Amino acid sequence: MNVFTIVFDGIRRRKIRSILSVIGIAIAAMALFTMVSLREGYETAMESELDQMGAHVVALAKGCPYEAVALIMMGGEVPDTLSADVVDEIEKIPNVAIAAPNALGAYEHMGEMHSVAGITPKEKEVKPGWEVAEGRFPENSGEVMLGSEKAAMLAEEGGFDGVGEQITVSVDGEAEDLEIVGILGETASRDDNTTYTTLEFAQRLFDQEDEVITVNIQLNELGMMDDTVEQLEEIPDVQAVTVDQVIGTVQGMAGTGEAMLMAVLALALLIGGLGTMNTMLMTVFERTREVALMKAMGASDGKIFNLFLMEGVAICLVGSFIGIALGGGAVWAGDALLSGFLPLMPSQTVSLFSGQALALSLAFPVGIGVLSAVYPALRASRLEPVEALKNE
Amino acid sequence: MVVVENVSKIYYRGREEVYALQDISFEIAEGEMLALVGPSGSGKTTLMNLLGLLDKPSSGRIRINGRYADELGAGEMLRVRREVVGFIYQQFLLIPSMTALQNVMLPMYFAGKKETREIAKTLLERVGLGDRLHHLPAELSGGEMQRVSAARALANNPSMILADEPTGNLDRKSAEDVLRLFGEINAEGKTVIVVTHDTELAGSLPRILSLRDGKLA
Repeated sequence: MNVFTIVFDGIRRRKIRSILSVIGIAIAAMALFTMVSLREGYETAMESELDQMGAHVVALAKGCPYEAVALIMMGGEVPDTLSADVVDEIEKIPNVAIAAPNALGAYEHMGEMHSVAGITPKEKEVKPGWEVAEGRFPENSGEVMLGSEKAAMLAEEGGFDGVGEQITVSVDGEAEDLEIVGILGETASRDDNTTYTTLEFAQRLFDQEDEVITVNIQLNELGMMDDTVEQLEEIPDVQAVTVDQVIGTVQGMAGTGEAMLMAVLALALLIGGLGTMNTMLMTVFERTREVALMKAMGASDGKIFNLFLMEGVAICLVGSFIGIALGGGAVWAGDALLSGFLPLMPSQTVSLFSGQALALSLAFPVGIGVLSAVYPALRASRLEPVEALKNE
Repeated sequence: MVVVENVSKIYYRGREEVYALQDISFEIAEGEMLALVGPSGSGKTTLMNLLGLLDKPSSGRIRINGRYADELGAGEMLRVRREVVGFIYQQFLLIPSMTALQNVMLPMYFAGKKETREIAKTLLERVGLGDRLHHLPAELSGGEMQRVSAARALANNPSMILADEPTGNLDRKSAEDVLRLFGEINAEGKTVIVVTHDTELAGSLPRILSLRDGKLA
């Protein structure tokens, strides 16, 4: 016989109540594990995406900063364009190392829209993660390079089997023949989902002659970023968005939802804790005679206290194990789950099994178990055996 | 050896003082077997709780095996309660979800003993329940439950057994069995104190202490 024999005897005797308490704690632990894991997964994925972006600063036409961030992260069409002359102006700023202009648009192919970026050879210098997997960079009008996912999709659905093939797409209802000259290696960013062509060809295709949508900028000296942003914004019509701003905006957008979820989570933990406390208190009341008997047998106050405390902790521990297992499932389905209510999703998966989440999801419920069992356990340990053992 | 010196126990009912025990003194020699009798409300249970160190007298002193109870620290008190006294109750007070064996092991667990299973098994065999080790209390008869209770009282090998109306809930035959068991326990040198209002039972024991209105009669 050891302490567990007695603790589990107590739990087993009120199965339904114990199970309900376990469920309460499990829900809280599941929410905690899922949230902390997905939050970490989301941030990691976003950061790696921004790393892949390569640019330190993106210049684009003045407008809503949220739209700008959405454009940088997700692509998409923005009505405002910059004059192509801006690129020269930007290059004159001493701290600017590379300025790679992009024209952006989309074409229709096999009933779906595909985003297209017109780029210059400078793009390769801005994006250190780029590696041409097959073929080469687009150099002439009508040539395109596919992102890795685009290529895989086309191979699956359109029977595309290699560089050199022609496809016919539609831009604003007009047919265009394109030649696939290259495939970009996997970057684990939205670049994998983009089709690239030359800047000049994209400008013509999307009616953006002498215009650019964004300029990806790499700096010589990151410490002077603020000054450079100031200089960039002195150029008429230019808005400069730094990677830090992008991160901040993304976190801000996710943060609003997170604060609400946190409140719900705190409530779930509180309710779980109160449930456990209620169970433990009822147990103590029901077992008054038994506790008195144990004391008459020579059980010390400390031992009684421990027995009841461990009962509470055991309930919470089992609850948190179950919760973590369920949370694991939720994290596994994290992308589908989050895309429902977050405006921006990284192209990488957000399903990350975080050690921090695991530690928190064990520590919090067990902490709550201890807190909610302390009072009932204290009551039990202070019971006067004489009163409780009176012959009724 | 138990020495009770001028012990009184007062309860308060509102502001009114109620004497459960009033200035009683007596001695019980080691290995004695005696009945503590009296009508209900005469103070029998109060006295038993005092002898078992579950309660403290309002005045007077109790000396057990040469030590005054009021001089014992909390830790020593627990040790004495574990090692000197074994309780048996009228309602058996077995833990319903534990087997006979586990019920007998429990006091040894509280005393921090090892190898409790073997000792418990031996004790249950000794009270004639060798074939009932893994039965739950609900699966035992009243007499069997009281024998489990006796085995439990003996678990930490105390020098004194305090039985509060041990036959009150038993039929004639079971009561006789339990009393015979007490006789055997006493024959091994343990002090046995049986609290009862059954005069016939009391008459069969070597000594009777009679309480009436908190005083020895």
